[in-house]
Amino acid sequence: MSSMPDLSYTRVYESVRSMGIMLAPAKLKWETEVRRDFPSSEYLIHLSCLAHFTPHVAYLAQSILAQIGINAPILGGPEACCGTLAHHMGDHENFEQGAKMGLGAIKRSRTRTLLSVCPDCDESFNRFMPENASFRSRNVVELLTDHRETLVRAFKPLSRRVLLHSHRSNASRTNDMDKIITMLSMIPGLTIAEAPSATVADVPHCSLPFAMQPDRQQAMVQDGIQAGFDTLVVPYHSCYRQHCGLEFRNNIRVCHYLELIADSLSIPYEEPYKAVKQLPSWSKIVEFFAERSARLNWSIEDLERMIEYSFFPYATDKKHLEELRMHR
Amino acid sequence: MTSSNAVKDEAWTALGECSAFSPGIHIVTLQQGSVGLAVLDGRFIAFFPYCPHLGGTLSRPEVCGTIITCPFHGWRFDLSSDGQEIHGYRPLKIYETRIEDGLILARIKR
Repeated sequence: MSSMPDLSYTRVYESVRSMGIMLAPAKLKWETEVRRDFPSSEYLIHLSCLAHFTPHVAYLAQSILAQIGINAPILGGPEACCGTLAHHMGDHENFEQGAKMGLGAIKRSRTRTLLSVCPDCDESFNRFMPENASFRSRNVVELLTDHRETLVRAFKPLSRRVLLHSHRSNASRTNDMDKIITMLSMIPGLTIAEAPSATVADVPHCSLPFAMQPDRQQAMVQDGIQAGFDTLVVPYHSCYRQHCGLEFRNNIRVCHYLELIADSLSIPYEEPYKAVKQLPSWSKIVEFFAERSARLNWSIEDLERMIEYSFFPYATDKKHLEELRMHR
Repeated sequence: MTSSNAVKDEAWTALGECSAFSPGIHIVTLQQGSVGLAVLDGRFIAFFPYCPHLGGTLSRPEVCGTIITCPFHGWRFDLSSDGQEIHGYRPLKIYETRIEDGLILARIKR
């Protein structure tokens, strides 16, 4: 790393790159480019930009598929951006060009099916997918549902009462939700109820521009706890980032739906992001990452800049950053 | 910006009058293609205007000092270090430049 400027694209991409490296499970590998020797595969998992904060999601998708004999390499890094970042920034020219470049790279991988874990990527790729495309884009839950009869034979019971955080803002998200419910319903021992849809029309998930307000988050969890639920399950990595901290203020587990499937299949995994999010101070966060950072030969300045970009993205200046640090 | 495309010799191509370029990033359109021209700290640095990653246009990169960031996927090139990509990816092609009679010339090799 070198010095990083206070600029938006650079900030996001550097935090994505850094967090992916810092938080990924040791066994998780991804390619950042489709080179000539890129492994040809029927399926390709797309590790999207902000999913690098929770890389265990892609790891679990890959591991669960492996259990049913499906090999799916991962294309990731900021190099795999679907263009949505530009869309959120109001940069529509770069949005379209970025999405089309991403689709071109995926085509060169010779995959037949792109597996997404991100609703923004679903929306972006399907919007610009050419009519004669050599592959199709699907959320990974669709493929899991295709193979549910195989998976169900391996499911072990989980005794949990699950409140499902829901997004039904359009047909694609409704399809995802229905299929997530289908999958979770096949795990013995789970009781499942769906919370009211968290977002309005055309807002696909809890991402930074469309975050749920803290009081609504808290109300969602409290309603669930009062109704006897012990687990809040989210459908997307972005919702996970936003809501996982609720676990520490409430007597409820917060997890991604793939975590429950992995639990039922006895697939082990690490998820450090939730722990990082709960650290009480700037110094604790630095301490948490210090060993990993040292292994990468990052200086303390590089590490602090990465933390600032990744966990304090809205700091407007140094004074504001210091206030955020102090009140964290 | 479109230059007069005057060719001083076989290898060097005029990009335009030095005074015509304000600080920042410019794309100069020539008959043989486009050339990026960065005016940074009074220096002129000419470069191939497409990212070596996926060919994204570098007409609107983010600029910090001599480092430019491709807005499509975050590759970052140090224009003062032969276009090296700071994460170790492929470098950006930099063209040699010189100033002659108030013109900025670039030695363009495609």
